[in-house]
Amino acid sequence: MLSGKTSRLAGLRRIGKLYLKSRIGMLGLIIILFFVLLAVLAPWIAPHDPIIQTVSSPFDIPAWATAIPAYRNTPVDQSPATWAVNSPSDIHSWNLTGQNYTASFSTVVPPQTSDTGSIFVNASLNENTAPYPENNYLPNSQAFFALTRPFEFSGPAPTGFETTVVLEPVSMTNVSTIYVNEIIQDPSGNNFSLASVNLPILSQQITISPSDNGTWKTVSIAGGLLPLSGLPAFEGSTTPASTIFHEDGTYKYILEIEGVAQGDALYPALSMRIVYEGLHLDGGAYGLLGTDNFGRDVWSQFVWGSQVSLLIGILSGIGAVGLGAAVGIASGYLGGKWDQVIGRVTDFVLVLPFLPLLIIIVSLLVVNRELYNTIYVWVILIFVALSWPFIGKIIRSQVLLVKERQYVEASRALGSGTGHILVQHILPNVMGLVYSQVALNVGGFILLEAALDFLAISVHTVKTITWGLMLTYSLPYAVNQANLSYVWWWFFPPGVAIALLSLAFVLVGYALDSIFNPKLRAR
Amino acid sequence: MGLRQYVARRAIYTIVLLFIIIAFNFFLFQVLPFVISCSSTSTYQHCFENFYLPEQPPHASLNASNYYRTLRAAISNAYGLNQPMYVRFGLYFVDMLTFNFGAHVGTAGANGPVLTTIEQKTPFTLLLLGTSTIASFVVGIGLGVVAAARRGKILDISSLAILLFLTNFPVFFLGAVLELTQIGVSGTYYAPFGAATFLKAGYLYYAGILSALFLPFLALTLISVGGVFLTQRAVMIDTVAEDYVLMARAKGLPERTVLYKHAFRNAVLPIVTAFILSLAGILAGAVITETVFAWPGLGLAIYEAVINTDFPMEQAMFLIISIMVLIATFGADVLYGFLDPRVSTG
Repeated sequence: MLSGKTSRLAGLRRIGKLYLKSRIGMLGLIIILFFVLLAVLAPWIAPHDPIIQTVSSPFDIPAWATAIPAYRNTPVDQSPATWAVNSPSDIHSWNLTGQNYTASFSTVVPPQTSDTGSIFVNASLNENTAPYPENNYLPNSQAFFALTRPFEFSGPAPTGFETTVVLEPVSMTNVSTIYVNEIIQDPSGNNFSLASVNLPILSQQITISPSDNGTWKTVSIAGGLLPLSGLPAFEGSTTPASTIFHEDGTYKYILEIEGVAQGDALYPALSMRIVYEGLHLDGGAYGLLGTDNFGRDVWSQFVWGSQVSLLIGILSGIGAVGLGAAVGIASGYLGGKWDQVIGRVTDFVLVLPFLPLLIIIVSLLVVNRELYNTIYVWVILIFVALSWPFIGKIIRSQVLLVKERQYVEASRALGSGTGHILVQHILPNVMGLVYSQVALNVGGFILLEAALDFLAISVHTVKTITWGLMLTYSLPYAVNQANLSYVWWWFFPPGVAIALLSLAFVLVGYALDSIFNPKLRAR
Repeated sequence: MGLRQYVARRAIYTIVLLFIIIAFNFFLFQVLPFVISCSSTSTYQHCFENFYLPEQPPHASLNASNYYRTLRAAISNAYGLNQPMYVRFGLYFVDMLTFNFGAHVGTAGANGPVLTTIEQKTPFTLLLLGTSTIASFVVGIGLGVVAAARRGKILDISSLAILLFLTNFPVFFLGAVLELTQIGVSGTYYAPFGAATFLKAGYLYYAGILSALFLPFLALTLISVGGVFLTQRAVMIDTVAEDYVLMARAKGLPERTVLYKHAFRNAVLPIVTAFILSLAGILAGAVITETVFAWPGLGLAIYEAVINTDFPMEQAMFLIISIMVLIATFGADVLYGFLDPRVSTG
């Protein structure tokens, strides 16, 4: 028993050594390992949810492509001022100025925001502590504070920008209206007010009245999408974005909040929670692989897409070869009536039109709501059901060869049962072929899944993205008669990946084939 | 068992298989839930056209009128849907054997008799798949023999690497790459069939067809040449290792004669079989390639039929494809019986 085990281990080790020597086998293995790593690490190496839109502006080239002369002047998309307030210490990075404020970390999160906390600011004008302003027209009637954070900016001016602040007034005393101003200060000290009463920038001025207590308000500002020529504030420039971000250096983001007193009332007090969702600068370049037509991150799609291709490819490969091997061994070893019946069924399935039948069945499954939830299982089952005969025939002929060998005959003469002969003699001689067939078929299934995606027989729920879908979506933009600058960063990665991965499995298949089938080693 | 008996047995077996396929087609389309295309959101007209005719109207507003019942009866009569299943099966069987495939159904698809559509599209599919099959076999066999003769040399390794890589390309990706290449090289866009032949007559019309044919032909050939190449190369390498080749070399025959007269003639048999089997695929069309390049062949027609649940067309194409495969398999079997005596003697 023990000796049998050790000899089998030695056999495996020998096969491993032979495999390591096979150059094409190792090449295939390395490619497969790369994509398996990609698929496994997807949650960590994909920066975005692949279906989230406007991660950046649409059709951005990859950030590294700005090194190519043709794209040299393309500004890179960046989020230089995104500061999630995740812990109490985070609020120290903000500089608060104003009158008699206190700021603290708040664990309250606005709805539909991913940040884990907000800043709680309490601002008031206290009679006892605050000096009474003699000549100032404001402070005695305003609870005013400002949050400031510096950030670095360099590179070509962006084509636009977006900022979002989410805030909730918690309590208002003697306050009639709250004004929110967003200001960006350039390194030279010029202030550009993004949201204020008196600047005609693309802004969303919000005013908060006492009735808004306890509700979250969102201030979103997008600048630079419309030309603002002719406006005095932006003379000599076409967009707010290029006016504001005209030089490299340290900029400041300032969020001003003023609570205006009610009527003649003095000493207004105001407390509110604030989440600053950051400043995003639009360019024409973003991330590792740029963005698609909806501004979705192509790299994230690419990484997540590898999961589906590998999953469907490998599971179908194992399933089809498993079934094919079982049928082939049964038909080859048992022979007689079994062989006849299996042979007829095999011939029948082989005659069926593969792709049309596949398309019909899958397209019908997709429409059925109940089956749609488990659609991958069904797709794999159909792949298996339509492709086992090819493999069964190959395995059967191998079993027929092995069965006639003298040692099998000798074993049978010694009184070995069917089970013993199958496990000890037939299986070891067929397994090599089985392994190589799995590898050879996986590539085909990966291509097949991509083909289904292309034919818009989408087997995926809306939340999934695959290489096939990426190719399908990018195709109209890649070869577009109206658009000469084709989307190479979006179109090539999935196509080349499908080809590479399916080639890699074929290479591994050939390598295994030549190891288990020494006659082929000469090739 | 003699050769004649062997051929007769294969012929009977093929015909039985054909009958089974026809029966399978009938029951497949009986079982397929066409109900789903008649959800509450689609129009009842569409449901009629897909032969979904429940006793109760699919929409409540039809209850009041007699229109639904009349229309249902009329359609049922016209298509024989009121007959019991075995009668319908018999009718269907006769229809299929006489190539009476009926008319298109579905709202968005083609109109008129299915057979007319097939007759119109067949030349295009034959043109595309015929040329590309021949080209890939000629190139694949040629390259395979030369590569096997120069095993391990630059030509062998590079053609092996390139063809293996190309074979694993998704054909729609390769198609787009070829279109981009054309734009890059010639500065003009790929004009699909309709655009290339629009309002053209005489030789210009045929020139248009050929110009539209070029890219799909190239894509199909590039994808399929790898398989032929690999088979031919493997068989050739095996054959070169045979004793009679050694003998021929020992006799002092020139290497050229040894390779092409002695080895190649024996190594070409498996490829001939592969060629005959691939002829079966010629009428099936290349669904994806024809869709990518909008080539008006049977492959595209199948795809459109599936999309529009045009099941008379689907049934017809299923049958035609199956018959082609059956004929090719039969042909290959018979050829083997002639060439390899061991097959027919069992």
